[in-house]
Amino acid sequence: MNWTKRTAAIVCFAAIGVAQPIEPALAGPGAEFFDGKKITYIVATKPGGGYDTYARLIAKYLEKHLPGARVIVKNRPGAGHIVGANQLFAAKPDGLTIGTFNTGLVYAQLLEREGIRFDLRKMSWIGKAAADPRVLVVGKDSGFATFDDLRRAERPILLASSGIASAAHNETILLAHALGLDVKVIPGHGGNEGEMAIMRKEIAGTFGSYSSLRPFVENGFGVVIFHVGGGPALAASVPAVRDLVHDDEGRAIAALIESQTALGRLTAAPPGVPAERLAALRAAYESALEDPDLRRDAARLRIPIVPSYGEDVAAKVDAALNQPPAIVALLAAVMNVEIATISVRTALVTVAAKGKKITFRSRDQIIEAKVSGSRTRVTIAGQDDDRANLKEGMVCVIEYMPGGEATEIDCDG
Amino acid sequence: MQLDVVIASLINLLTSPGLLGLVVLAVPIGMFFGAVPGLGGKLGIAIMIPFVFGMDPLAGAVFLVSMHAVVHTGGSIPSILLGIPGTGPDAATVVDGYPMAQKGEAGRALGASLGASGVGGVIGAIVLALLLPVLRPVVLAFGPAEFFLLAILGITFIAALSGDNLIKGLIVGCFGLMLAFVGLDPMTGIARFTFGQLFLWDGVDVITAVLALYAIPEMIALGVRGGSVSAISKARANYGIRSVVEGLTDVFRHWRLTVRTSLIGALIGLVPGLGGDAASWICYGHAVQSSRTPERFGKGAVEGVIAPETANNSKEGGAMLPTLFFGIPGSSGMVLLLGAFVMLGIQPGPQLILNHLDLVWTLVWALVLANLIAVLMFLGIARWLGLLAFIRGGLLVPLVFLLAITGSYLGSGSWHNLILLLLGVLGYGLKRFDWPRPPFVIGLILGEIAEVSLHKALAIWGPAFLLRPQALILLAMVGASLLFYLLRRRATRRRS
Repeated sequence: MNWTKRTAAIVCFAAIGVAQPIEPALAGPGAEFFDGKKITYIVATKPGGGYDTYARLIAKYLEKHLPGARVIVKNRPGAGHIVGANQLFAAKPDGLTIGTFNTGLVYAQLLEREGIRFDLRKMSWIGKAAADPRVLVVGKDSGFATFDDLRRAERPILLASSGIASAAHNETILLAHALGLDVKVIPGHGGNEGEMAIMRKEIAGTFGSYSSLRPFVENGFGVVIFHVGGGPALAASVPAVRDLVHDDEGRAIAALIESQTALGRLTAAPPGVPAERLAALRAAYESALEDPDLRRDAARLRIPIVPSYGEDVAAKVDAALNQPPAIVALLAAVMNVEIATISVRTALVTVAAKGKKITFRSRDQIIEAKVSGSRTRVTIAGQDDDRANLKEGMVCVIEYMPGGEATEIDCDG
Repeated sequence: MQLDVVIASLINLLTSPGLLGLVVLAVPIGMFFGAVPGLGGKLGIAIMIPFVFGMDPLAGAVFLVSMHAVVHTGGSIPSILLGIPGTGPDAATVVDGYPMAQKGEAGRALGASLGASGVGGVIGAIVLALLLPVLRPVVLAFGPAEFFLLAILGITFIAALSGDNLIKGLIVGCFGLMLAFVGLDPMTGIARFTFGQLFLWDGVDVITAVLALYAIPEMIALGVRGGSVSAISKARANYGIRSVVEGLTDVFRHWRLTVRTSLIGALIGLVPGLGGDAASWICYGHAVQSSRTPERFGKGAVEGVIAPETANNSKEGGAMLPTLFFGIPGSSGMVLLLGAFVMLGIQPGPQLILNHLDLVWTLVWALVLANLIAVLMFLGIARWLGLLAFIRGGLLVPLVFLLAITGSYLGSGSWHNLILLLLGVLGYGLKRFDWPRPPFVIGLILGEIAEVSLHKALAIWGPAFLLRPQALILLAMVGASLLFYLLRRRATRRRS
């Protein structure tokens, strides 16, 4: 174990490097339990990322506000934060294990993804350190500069995402659906590959966290089209998604993503932590995040602090998990197929070009959809039929991709 | 290019005792992080960031860049002496470096790796400097279509790496490709071959696979055989400073290879997304393929040490370009470096070259200097390191197993990952029955790149991506690589 000890020694040595003399703060009730104890702070990523930076900073100030306690950061990466969250959930609820992980796990829980052994509703929430507004950024030379340009796009707009399981990927598809944009999401752009792809003009843009896309925009490579949960850092001319959507479903999607952006850099303890200890942890977390020294360090590290505490965070997580079945179904659909299809029973308003183009009413909107000769399955009165036989006024069940093709048209005849 | 800035930066660096001292301090730290399996340059930066917190931006940047530049110089030490790669990209050095140690040529192998690292690092810095004016078009010329074909080109090297039996090589290579598909499918999100194990979602860890395939079988073999790593007794072996110098001169004797692999390494470093593992294995494959005597490889050919080691260090120069000038880091190590730059008050991006050219040049010179200092320092200790090859197996085997286990654990942060060390049984079988092992690693590393890039290229352009101009050039190279192999095979057959 020589090597690990040596590593540990270096890490500790490094930690001493930043530690300034720290005076103990006033301890609240329940805080005396932590005197002389070791608290493990699980980070669900490898060392060095954003979650790690926040955790190490907060750990330092938790020690200050929980006199006598030592806070050790432990990295438990894997499976897109699921490994870390599972481990936190299963930890002994004695208040000596806390942890941080991606808010996007809300989606994973909503969809009951495999591998999940946690229930976010039951976690003992301590607080959150940041807001994480999202933006859609397109390349400077992509040919798009405003939301209207996107809406008028003649070909599918290519947007990059890191992977199909990522929160940003789901959000991109949900938003495209809510805004009626013709979008094709290309996954597999890990790290900063999406930005490179935008610069190479293969991809028009990407939807993601503003904090990570900000340098790209500030370096003049990209333009922000719209934001979700964005604050004063963005130009006033950039619209919010909630002002761009028109129907209830769109508003529900915008609200879901907005609730995600509010909950950046969460910290929680396992379910069932004794109330007094949880209260002490919450109080210490709050004092730490409000500490002017922490704010000064954060400013130097250039990481924003927009905190919120205890019950407030618990309520927000609950709200995010309380989605109507329609939204959950939509989420499930976007997870399995590239673009979610919508099914509606309505009358055909117009039929043009020998059945190649149809319009109909759906969700208070007039929808235009293409009818493919090979891909769209047309049935009239229970019989397989040709698109040329579609007529105005027929009442049909139409399954269609927003902004794209109808996949199935089943008419009464 | 403003020559006055170039020279002024060099003079500034050389005449400032503070900066010079930081470079000298950074080099052994970087080499240490490379030499201990599982630590690596990324962790090095993460740990050193608190130290540079509050430093003058120039000094802090010089320190971090110098440290990160020489990680792979140190990483080759355990690769050669113990058969354990210090870092992922140093894994290719095991293939010929360790057999050299077994032949009693540990000193020469260390010398060659040292010289190759130094020359590669310097050439990488030169490439960085020369490309400054034309950076954008060069970096942007490589997209998923080109990545896919580069990976395919690398996979064709399996033929040359198979030795005398192509079928065996293909079987092993396909097994590597198969393991590359373990994990969450990046396109559909479906868990493939994960057997309900979360740790497999992220795929098979390359360091662990290489440890299992090389370090473990070699140690089993050593335990079975008895004696020390070097099969030749200390009295008859060359481990003195003379053999280290001999290795150094090997680098210049094979100067064409050295220059070629340095350039390939710098190019791969330049393009974000391919990664250091791909760089060193592609260069190793290239060395085998371009050699007149490919049969010597895997048995202790010095070119097999030179090629990956030049690539390892030269890619650092290339990798800094997109980080500094687009603000877009090419690797996870560069992500951290970028974060550290921002923290120091240096804002990477296109303005950097306009407003802070002196800083850029100081960093280029720091890269050169760090690589040269690493050579000198290493030269001082190489002789003593070489003695490790003569330690009795009974003492060495447990230590190496321990290092392999901690290396695998530190690399992935998950104890479950140690299960993968069971691949060592397969590795021992391959070694015992004389099947080639490099095709496995090539398949594992390039399979993933090939898959993701192919998906992306098809989604963006459809099959027409093959008709892009750069793609056509790469396709021709793939064809040439295969043709070259077939012609050489025929020639060897005729001779024998």
